Amino acid sequence: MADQEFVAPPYVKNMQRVDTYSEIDEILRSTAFRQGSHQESHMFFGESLLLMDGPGHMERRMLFASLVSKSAMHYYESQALAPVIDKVIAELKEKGRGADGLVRTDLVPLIRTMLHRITALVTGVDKVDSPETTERFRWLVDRLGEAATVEWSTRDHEEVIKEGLAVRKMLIDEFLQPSLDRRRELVRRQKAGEIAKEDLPVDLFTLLCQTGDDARPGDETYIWREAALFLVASTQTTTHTLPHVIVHLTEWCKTHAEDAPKVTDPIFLRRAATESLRLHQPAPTLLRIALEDVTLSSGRQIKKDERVALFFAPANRDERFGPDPYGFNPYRAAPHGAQAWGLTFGGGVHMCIGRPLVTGMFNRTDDLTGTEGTMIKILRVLYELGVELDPASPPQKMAVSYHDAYGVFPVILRKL
Amino acid sequence: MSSKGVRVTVDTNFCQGIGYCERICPSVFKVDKATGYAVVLQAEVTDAEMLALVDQAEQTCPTRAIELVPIG
Ligand code: HEM
Ligand code: SF4
Repeated sequence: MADQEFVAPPYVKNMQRVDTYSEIDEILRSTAFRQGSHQESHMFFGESLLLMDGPGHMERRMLFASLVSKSAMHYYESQALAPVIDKVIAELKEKGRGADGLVRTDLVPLIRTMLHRITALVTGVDKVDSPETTERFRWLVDRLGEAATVEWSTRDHEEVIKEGLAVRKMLIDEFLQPSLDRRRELVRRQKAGEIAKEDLPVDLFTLLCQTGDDARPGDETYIWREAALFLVASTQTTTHTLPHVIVHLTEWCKTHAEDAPKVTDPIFLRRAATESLRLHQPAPTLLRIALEDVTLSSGRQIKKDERVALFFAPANRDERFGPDPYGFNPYRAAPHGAQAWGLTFGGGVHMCIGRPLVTGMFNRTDDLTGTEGTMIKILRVLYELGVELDPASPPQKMAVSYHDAYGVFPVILRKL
Repeated sequence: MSSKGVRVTVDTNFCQGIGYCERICPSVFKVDKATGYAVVLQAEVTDAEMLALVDQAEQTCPTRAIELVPIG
């Protein structure tokens, strides 16, 4: 199993492979490296926050910080996630039961649907409210995600890119352009003093309109690439990682029956989700390019302009995570000098901006006003509904890519 | 945020020395090149303008290493 997980996708087979925790940590924090991911998928993410470097990146990152401010996160979780979960569950109930009286569903599209409103709110996309438009939006973002991570696709890459460009056009025509136009008008009215700044929505499109970066001279598709980053990063990652928690907990509870009643306890679930995130990352590897000849503390040499592949899966099984680092243990003690989820949310300047949204704000003072986190909240609701794997139909890993993720994840919601 | 201000600390278990805090509010945060962690130059912040900046730094810090505890 371990060997299978660490198989290098063909895309990186000629690159130097870095797979120890300390080396990856050093590279991610170092200013001697620049972003090296998404070169083949540049037409989808190019010049977005993720692919910027240096002071320009820092400025952008600070601008976008308001998208994940504490108040924004409270709003997303209570106003965008909770009602959507309720709606999705109600729709499932209506859809009916099997001959055995049980509700069955595939978790992969279900998670995407549950997250779609947060995704739309963060980016600034309107009209994702009816079942039809939601389903359409979810499908388009899903397909865009496949193209934006074409590096890991097992399909013909040219084909995937061609499809992705067509999907992006549909997404722009049907959702993004009208939403952007509305925000341009709102910002124009705000600048003319007709509405207050506080009444503007807080989302990516509005921020870009406010800074005048909604129409770059000579680069009209920039805004769609920034939007693509936020659309894909906010759904694909959680959709890829959440089902693993259920697989691990199913196995864990077989040998730790005393924990079975804890699966609806947010504290236990946070531990389980964190541990599962340590073991499974949403992307097979992150890539970085050396800006100069570098010798790492380990002695490893990386030449100027060399692109290296950082393998988080083996690094996150480092001995610093305690005994049996390959195993899943929700009671694993917090490692010294590392996050409990290891490098899964990255490190250095590009460290995930959406992490608090996923795992919740719960550290220290945040305890008083914390959020549960989208991943923990969805898991809790699923366990309250008696989620379990469907023995007649086991989950299947994604066939179309090298992602450590499931393409189909059939479950039974026994208590629905 | 308390009107009396906040006590500012950086949790070195989380800090990665990325420096967003220093960039936003250099009079309160500075990344120590030797240790690789941000140090707090001003432990208590009461000035309204400065409070807004430390608040922004806290929210921007990718590792959520900055802790602001209301005073009083
Ligand atoms: C399980 C969930 C998630 C995981 C594991 C994850 C992981 C990551 C990682 C590893 C990076 C760094 C990439 C690099 O250094 O090349 C990253 C960056 C990023 N993530 Fe996440 N992410 C998750 C959820 C989210 C969510 C919900 C959002 C929505 C706001 C988001 C938005 C971003 C953005 C915009 C960046 C680029 C940041 C930058 O370059 O400064 N992510 N994420
Ligand atoms: S922004 Fe956060 S991680 Fe970066 S130096 Fe400041 S406290 Fe440390």
